[in-house]
Amino acid sequence: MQSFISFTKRPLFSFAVLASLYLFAVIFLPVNAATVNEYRFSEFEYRLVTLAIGLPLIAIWLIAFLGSKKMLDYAYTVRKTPEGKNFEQLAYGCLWLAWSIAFPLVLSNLLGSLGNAWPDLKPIAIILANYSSLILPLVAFTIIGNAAWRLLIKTKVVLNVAGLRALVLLTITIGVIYCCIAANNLLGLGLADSDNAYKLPVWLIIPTIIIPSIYMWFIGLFAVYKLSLFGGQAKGLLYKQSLRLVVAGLAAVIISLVLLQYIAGLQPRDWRLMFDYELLFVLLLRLLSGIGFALIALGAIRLKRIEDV
Amino acid sequence: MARAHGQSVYDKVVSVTHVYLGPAADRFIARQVENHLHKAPEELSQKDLRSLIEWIQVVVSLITDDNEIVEEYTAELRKLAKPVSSRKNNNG
Repeated sequence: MQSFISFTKRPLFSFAVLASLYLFAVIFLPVNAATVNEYRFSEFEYRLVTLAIGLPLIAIWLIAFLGSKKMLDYAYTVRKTPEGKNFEQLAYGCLWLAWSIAFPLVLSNLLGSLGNAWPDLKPIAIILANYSSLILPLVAFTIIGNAAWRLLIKTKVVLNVAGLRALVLLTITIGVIYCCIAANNLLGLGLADSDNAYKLPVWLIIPTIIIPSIYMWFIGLFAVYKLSLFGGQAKGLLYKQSLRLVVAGLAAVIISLVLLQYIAGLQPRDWRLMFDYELLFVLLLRLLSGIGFALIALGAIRLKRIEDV
Repeated sequence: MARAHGQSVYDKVVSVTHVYLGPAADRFIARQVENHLHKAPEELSQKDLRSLIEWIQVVVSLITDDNEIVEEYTAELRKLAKPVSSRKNNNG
């Protein structure tokens, strides 16, 4: 367990392992027959297209883990300062975020490829992929939210009630829309019926997928709200400029993950590669998370420079 | 400790720096005093200010490309380096 924990704390090593696993799945594991038939690809063409989509994603993961590393470096530099512990927590939240954008895709790709050859594995693969894309961001958002809260307390800022109300209203709105569409997708099924996109009985989907998803979106958006308050209240012109890059970056990553989870929840996929507007939108959101991590890296480098010179 | 009007020279420099570097101000100035003037921060005196400000100008230029902020910051520090009687004449 200790060695696993220390492995996950080494960002670039984590990236190398995840990227290797992803490429292994794309290049060597069985292809998706439905996609091959639909688009009349040869196996080689299918792998090429999947690689063409996958390489930019891998580049985004590299930026994500680099951004986390820079935050960890800055947190280590300020570890003995009053805000040191909170920045350390924020940095580990960034690392969890990097894992959140990479690991579910890698797991999904590996398991989906195995499911192509052994269809009996598909339900397990779908369940594991769904839970990993829910649990990892939830942990990341919780850690970042706690760190932002502790940093905010030190500034003695009072939370804006109107802002909180707007946040709750937003979460309720997107949650209700999500519930309506999820209910529509599960219409006509019995509570014990698992013949649905989630491959889980309906009674289990509600408490373990739907409710935690809505909770995760609130936690994520609340973390963004706290971070923006903290960034706005920070003192020091140069310090604030650098900190704002980190805050903007975290906000971009969190919002992109929330939207990705929302889309996945509205329209669960079964690993068929479909060239539609949804794929384009998903890729744009992944690009947004890459931009977010680039901002985090830039902000962390500048903050560290203030401490080093 | 070099004090003037109840606040040390070091505290005044940190106070000006806080406007630009926020919570990093104290440790930034302490580092400059220790590394470039080779003395403890609390030993910073009025006559050290000129050389400290020169070092700070170089170092802050490494942090930001915005020359306006660098000039503004060092100008504020130079006000501290003026003799007290000269500052009083300017104010009065």
